[in-house]
Amino acid sequence: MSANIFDRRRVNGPPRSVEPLYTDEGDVKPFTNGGRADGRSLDQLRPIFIKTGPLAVQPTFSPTAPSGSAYYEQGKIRISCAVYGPRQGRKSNPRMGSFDCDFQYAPFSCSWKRRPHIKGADEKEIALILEQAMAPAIRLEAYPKACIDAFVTVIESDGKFATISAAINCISAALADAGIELYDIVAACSMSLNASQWVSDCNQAEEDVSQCSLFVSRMPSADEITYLLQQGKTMPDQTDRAVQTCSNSCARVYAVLSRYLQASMEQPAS
Amino acid sequence: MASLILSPAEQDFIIRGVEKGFRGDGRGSLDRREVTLRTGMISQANGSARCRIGSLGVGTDILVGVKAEVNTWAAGEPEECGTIVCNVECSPSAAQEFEGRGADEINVELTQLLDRIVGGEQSGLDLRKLCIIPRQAYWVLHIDALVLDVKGGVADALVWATRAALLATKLPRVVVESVTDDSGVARAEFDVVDDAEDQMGLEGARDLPLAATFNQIGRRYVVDASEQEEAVTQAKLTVAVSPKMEICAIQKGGMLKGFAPSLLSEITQTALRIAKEEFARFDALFAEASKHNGELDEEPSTGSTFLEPF
Amino acid sequence: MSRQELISPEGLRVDGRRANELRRISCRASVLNSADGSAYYEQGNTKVLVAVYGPREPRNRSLAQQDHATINVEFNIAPFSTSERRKRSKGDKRLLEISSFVKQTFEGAIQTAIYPRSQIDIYIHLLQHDGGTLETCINAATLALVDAGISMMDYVCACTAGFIDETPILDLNFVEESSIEVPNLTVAIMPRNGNIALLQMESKLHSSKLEDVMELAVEGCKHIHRKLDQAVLVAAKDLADKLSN
Repeated sequence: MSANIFDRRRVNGPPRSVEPLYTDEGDVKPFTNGGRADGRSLDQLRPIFIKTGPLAVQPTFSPTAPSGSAYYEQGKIRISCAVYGPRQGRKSNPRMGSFDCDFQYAPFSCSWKRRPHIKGADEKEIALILEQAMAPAIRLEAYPKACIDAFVTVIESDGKFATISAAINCISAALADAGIELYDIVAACSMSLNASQWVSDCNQAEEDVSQCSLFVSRMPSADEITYLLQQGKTMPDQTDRAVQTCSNSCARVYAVLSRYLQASMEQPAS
Repeated sequence: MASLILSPAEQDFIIRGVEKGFRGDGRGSLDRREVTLRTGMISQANGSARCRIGSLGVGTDILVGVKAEVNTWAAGEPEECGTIVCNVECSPSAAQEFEGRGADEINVELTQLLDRIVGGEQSGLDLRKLCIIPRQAYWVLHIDALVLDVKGGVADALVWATRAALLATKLPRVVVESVTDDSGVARAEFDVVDDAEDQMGLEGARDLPLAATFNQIGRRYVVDASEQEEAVTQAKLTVAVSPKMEICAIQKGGMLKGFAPSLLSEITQTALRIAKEEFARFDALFAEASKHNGELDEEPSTGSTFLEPF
Repeated sequence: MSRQELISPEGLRVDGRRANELRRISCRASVLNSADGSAYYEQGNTKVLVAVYGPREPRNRSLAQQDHATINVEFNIAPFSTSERRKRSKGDKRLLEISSFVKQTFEGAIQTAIYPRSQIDIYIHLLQHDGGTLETCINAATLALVDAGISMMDYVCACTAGFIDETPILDLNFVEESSIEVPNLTVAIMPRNGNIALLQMESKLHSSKLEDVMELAVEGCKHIHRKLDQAVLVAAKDLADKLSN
């Protein structure tokens, strides 16, 4: 690549840059005799932070402003999501509305190598997963001929499956913020199998050494599993156990989400 | 997916039928349609198979070709493993909307699904055996699937065809020898033996999983939904089970509904129960397909099985 | 690289054929049950699968023509078809070129005027590639169109011919086709009246030799016509058997 090709369509970095100083983390094994590197217990989730409405434009009534948005953190994972709609869409189904999702990793968000600016097959697939996981919760029949779009940007990821489940939680919060009619909030949680022990909410290092990862998304009050994805080999009873544990963890995530949403209702952000 | 629009009356008919245990084509809820399997029709590929799941000659039709290539190792890649790359393409002959770029979305979905089932260690294939010289050269298995027709249950047919193609795949033998160059440094070099007789199958191909897709219709579920049944499916679950009765991958599909946890565990139990039967059926079909090949090998022709009624 | 010998002193080509010999042709109509018409055609190691749909309603209303049918051709090369695996994108110029040749050829052969406001789709899959892509595509498409029962003026039969060492040669394979010294002429004719439906050559050939090469290619086309005719008869007999049973 020649240096004098200047990409005008994107925000370019400074011409000269200096590598930041990293703290030497050394070779930390993700699992050492049963414990986890970050000191969590096996079924402990990373702390969650949610904020709705970070992308709201004042005054709120603007044609370009999203109707709802959310910012979500879970440990190192940082995700933002904007929801537009219900609005007129390209596909118009007279019986029910459509829900479309767009998922994007920010160019700097991943620890693995990927080509920036080009949408990879994994991003397209995750978008599809998110659609299928969220759509059962949305009262699409209440929005005939309309289209609801969710745009998810991963600012930082830590664990592929954990990122997908975090994205589901983030969309849930954004949909609630947009005032879209939902049957229930969808809460999701991931898990990985390591040395025949299930470990909840794994980060990337932990997922890398695991034989199997799965995530479950669930609507706790309707007791309905909206998505289940497993990659890797397990014995059948192990899957059953994992779905059980994940469902319980989902209930905990659900509690955090609904407590926050309730609080934000009672005390509108100034 | 092919958009089949059914009238509310027909939808209701299918839903009620499934709930009572009746299906339009007379199958039980856990019965699969007729499966036709052929192998070895593409002589330029290392392994190939065609699978059709359907009745009366109309059904989901998939052609899979496996091609092995030698890749030179680059930094950052696994050091002692080969890789498997999956690619699924839906032909416009399956549905008119797959013309041009119309199939992109379903291609990605099916490619990722196939990759999740056979793309890594969970497939049972011994990826270490695909390494030629550590940190130098390894085999890449390109699994290319061509979906010729879609009549419900694409995922199942895809995995059936892929399993047959991988079982039929023969890799040329590779001779690794140590060569000392002018400066006296020894390094490994390899030679691919170009001999059609001197080939071997893939290690661990017998452990490859088969998949079954369960479609939730009304309050019940059916295996191997037909095109009409798929049109009223609220949610589906694809479960890949290995011959050792391990679960290799699970993926949910469908936008309309979720699963109740009790139904979910019932489905995984059922998947394991019917897996034994499915493997027996696959083995019988595969043996028949391979026998077919043997006969044709006698002739000097290219031995195509496309010319035979399929 | 030294010049590869394409014709041995005994007059045999790289695959053992003589100069005026076609490769082995096998074909079958009605191979896909859900398509309106389909055909599988192989010539030597080149294998093609064609599905024809139509005449049916156009996908886009804007495609509909008031006085004749639109023909839509989509050509796809399977990634495993060549000796080195290669995946082509949908917009690959080579694919578009072939599909446009096929389309132009059949626009003249199909009686489009009797299917106004409709569309005929021809989907071609090249499953294995060993030279002569265009000729096999056209021959296979003819068979599939006949199978679909679409009215045509006549069969369209295509064949390639080249010229090596002062001898015209018939039906080039991949090795001969990729040699830069061999001119590659593709001719498609409608055998009954001998009209030329397509004539394509992208390389240099002395004008005095053209006639000989053409003559040979046309001879090849006539042979292919007999093969296709047989396949159509077999398919028709098959259908008749099924109906009477």
